[in-house]
Amino acid sequence: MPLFSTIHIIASCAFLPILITFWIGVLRFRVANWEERVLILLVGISLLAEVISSALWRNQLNNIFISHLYVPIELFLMLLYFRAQFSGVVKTIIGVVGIVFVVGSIIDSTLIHSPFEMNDISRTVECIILIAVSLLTWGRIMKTMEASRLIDLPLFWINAAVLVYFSAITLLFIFSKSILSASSELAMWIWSVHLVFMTVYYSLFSIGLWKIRPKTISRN
Amino acid sequence: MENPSENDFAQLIIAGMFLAFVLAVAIILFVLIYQKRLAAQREQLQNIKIEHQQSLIYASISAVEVDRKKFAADLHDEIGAQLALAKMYLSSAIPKETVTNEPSGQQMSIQVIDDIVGSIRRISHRLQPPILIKMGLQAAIQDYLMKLPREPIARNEIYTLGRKRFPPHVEIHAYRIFQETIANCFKHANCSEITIRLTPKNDKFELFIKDDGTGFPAENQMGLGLLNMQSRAEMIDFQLEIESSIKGTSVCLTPQ
Repeated sequence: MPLFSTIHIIASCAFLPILITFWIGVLRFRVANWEERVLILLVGISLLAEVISSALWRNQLNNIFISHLYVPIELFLMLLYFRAQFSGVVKTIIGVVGIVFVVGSIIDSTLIHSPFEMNDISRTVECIILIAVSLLTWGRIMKTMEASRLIDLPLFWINAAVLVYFSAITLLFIFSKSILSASSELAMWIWSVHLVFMTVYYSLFSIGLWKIRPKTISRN
Repeated sequence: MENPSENDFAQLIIAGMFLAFVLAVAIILFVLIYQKRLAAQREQLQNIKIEHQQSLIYASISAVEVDRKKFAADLHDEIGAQLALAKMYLSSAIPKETVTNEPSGQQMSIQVIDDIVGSIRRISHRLQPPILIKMGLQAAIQDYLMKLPREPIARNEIYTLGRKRFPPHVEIHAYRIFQETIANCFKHANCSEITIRLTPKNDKFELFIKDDGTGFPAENQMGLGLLNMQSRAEMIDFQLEIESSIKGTSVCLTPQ
């Protein structure tokens, strides 16, 4: 089978994990609290971005500008979720980092780099911020929560998804420009590997959204 | 990929990605294992605290029974005996041929002493019922109920245990649970009928008491009297089931 046909099949499969995650999010939307709804919204935006991006790619159009739009939104919404898990100084710092990143990303996309050029810096910074916030959250989990409840918590799975995925793809985005300027074959192989990690990410995310339950149950 | 440098580059990137992935998974597993150990330690500590509290409660209840036994014995042997002696002296001081319409001071004193001795006997029996020791649980329960007024609360009693005996600590704790339950019925239940059933079960017995009163709110289940009953039941390896509603309350002491 020609490589590009294989890649077309793989690219088509990229939809599935996001679609399943979004569907689970919709099922749980009513019983979710506000920060969990923010995550479900993020998954919806991811799905939309993937659809548009894929359509542009199939028509051999440049779809990199989608990433310029998506990255600040993704980080902002993620930080909204994680910020809700903290209080005090940490909460404030996360908020400030989120705002600074969004402003910086807009400046980068409009003034420094072209929106049709890979935003490797924004992506890399996003990965580092999310890894740091994820590790902070693990620290908080170790201090405050009991293991009997840990795997029942949506936060556990969401945080695992974030740490696993963004750790794995940091290197990818650091060298993304080099990868794209190399042969198509190399680019396709590496993006296929990215797809594996993306599948793991959305699988863990799905479990996290599935674990969302009504917060108070009244039995008479 | 035919370009060897591209090959190496790809391998490096992919290896780096997987290494980062494995590191992330290791962190998550570490957190899980650490939390599980912490939770196991907390549970162990909690169990030790509960066991310690339970043993304190049991020791306290046992001490109360020992004190009651001693107090009952002292009441009977010391005070009862001295009052009997006082009565004897007073009786001997009354002239034999005295005939009056009104009782003398001495005769009144003898009457008072008799009343006191009666009260001491009742108190002593409540503290340590001799009939429980001599004849067993069924006889003690029947004797207790016989001394209570028949009006306005009707009683429906079923006994099939007979004279079967159990270890003293089982009988005394079951009897105390019975006493507490009946006292609650009379004091709080506002009922018109009580059903008492004492039957054999699994080589032991089952004691069931039900009233048709007003019941009590759920928060009262944590009251001292009921907690005491629960502790006594646990001490003798029985289960105490209490159900309360606006239609009445039932207490069932059943073997575990």
